[in-house]
Amino acid sequence: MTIGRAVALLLVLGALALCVVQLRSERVRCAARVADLRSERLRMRRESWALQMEIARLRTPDQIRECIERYDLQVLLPHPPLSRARSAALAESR
Amino acid sequence: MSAISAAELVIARGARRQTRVAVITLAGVLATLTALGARLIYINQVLAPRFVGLAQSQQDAHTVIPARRGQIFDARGRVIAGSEMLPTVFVDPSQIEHPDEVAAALAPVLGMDAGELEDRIRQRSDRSYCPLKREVPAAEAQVVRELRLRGVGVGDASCRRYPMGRLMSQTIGFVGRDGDGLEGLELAYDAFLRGRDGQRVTIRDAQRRILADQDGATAEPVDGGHLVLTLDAVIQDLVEQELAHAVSSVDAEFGMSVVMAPRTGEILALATWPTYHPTELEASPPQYRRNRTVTDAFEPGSVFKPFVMSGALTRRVVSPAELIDCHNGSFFFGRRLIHDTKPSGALTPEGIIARSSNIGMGIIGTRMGNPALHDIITRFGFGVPTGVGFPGESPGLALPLKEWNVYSTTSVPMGHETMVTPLQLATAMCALCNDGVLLRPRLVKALLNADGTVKQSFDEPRVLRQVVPTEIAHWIVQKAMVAVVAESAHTDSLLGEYRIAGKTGTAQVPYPHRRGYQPEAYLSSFMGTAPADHPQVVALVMIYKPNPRKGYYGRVVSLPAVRDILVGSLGYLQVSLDPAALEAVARASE
Repeated sequence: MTIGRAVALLLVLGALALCVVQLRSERVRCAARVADLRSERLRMRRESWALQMEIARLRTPDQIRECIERYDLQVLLPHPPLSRARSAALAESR
Repeated sequence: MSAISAAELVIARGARRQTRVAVITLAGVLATLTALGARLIYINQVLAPRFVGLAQSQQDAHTVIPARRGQIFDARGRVIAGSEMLPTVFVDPSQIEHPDEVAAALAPVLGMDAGELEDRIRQRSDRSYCPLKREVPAAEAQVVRELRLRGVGVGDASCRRYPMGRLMSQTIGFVGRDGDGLEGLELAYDAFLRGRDGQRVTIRDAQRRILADQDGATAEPVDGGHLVLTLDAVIQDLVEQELAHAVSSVDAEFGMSVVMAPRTGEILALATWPTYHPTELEASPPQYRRNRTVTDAFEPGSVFKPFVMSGALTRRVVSPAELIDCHNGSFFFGRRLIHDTKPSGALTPEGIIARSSNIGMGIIGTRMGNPALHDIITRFGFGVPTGVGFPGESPGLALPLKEWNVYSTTSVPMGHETMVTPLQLATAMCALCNDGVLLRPRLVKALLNADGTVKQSFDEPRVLRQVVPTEIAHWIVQKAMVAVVAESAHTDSLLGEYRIAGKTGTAQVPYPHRRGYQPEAYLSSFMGTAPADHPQVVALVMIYKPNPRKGYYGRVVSLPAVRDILVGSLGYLQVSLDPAALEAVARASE
């Protein structure tokens, strides 16, 4: 074996070793990224649940009534509102 | 020669010594290597599982990914029950060396007493998980994370939320701290709603930062299915308001109401008042949690009369035009004297229902006989659970025929000796409004998969049987029950936008554990439907033990509430106005 061939072989082996190291570090980086994305997905999932609940709260009859009163909206209620006297009695009973 | 020999001898000796040293050294090295090899094998074979376990316990972190408990929707897709993921601050007491320091650091953040926290950590020192505070606000949770205290963690936990608050709470029920359904539909459909928690295993560095997920060890959560109910939040809201008003205006113990669609058997509202908030259980007594419309049975009183009358007409023991002598308000059936609240002479069957004559119904019961009476009440579904699928449903009480006696013949037609649940009563009323066909009441419209696709639909009405002929059912509703409302209208001006049909009832409340009735204790009821000519909604209101000084007749206490529920519901459901009722209103206003 000539010196030139020996050097070439060493270079190839060195390059292979670097590739292996690079691949392994990429793998670790990808795994970390996947883990981050999983965490992010969990966070989004949590936020989506919270938002759905918030929307549900805003759609309740009580909330809609409150909004109509607060902003004095000219909206036809699905059923006639209770008279003032009846509402007062109801509030007292509640 | 000898000198050479001596030199050779010295060399030879040196060589032997070197050989010996080399052999000893080699033996030493071999022995060391053997020992090291043996140790290596020992570590790899014997100690390996322990070390691997130790390493994993340091590097791996197991996190539960909570499955989402399925949502419960009303008939129009409004969320009645849903789940949120909220932080829970917990400790691993086995990892905490100085509980006093940890408690002192956490107390101001969590707004808790340091001494109490320390006690809790010390008391659970044998456990690896001890929740300190659930449903922690996100900002507080972040501060706890930033404290980086050893043995203290912040995890997510699924929390049940009821955005409608008290609305429908007795029907929906609630879940416990661990997410198990404990009452109502949350209990009945627990297995379907709950889902299965997932797990995430991560590899962490010394700072507990996530490096990667453990391959193959992560299990995705399986979310629970969703429930779509037939209940409508708007109608339920209306019913609860009317019920609350009816109960409070006469200082009653409680009130119940059922609203149903007679053509489909769908339950639109199911209410008991007073009620409770499902997330504030400690704030209300346990009896407020009972869905009495399904779990409690009562002696119905006069609201029962139309069912018996329909049976009498079916068996032709009486004809619609026949006049029956009601003996001016008091009459002896054998040795038993029966009175009418409104004394009458001769009445037609329509008049008997309209004036709620006990004597007239007693005569009709005598003509029918016990077997026919028993047959008609069981055909209407009294005495057996409706099969609505609600936990703890009461079957009511319809005594076996062999236990009936001579008094039963006159008692049962008046609504005594029989116990019915409000749901059974409303279901039977629906049969009269549905051309005499009894349907199974339905509370659940559909089961949905977690992704929203339909798993099972219950949209088709479930026909149980034809209880009475169509023409007799029509006559009862459109003649007799309309006459009841017209009779009551003299005092209460009941005509509204729709022509309403119904039946009043004012039953005495029996003692729970002995014979006889409690003094001044009544169950005031009204069951009604509208529009009378083509019923779209059936509503029942029962008020238990109103203050007699404030009113106790069904037509005074319950009828106005039913009227408002019917008018409100029909308007909301956009049922066209009844021309006959509008004419009546116009005539009345002229």
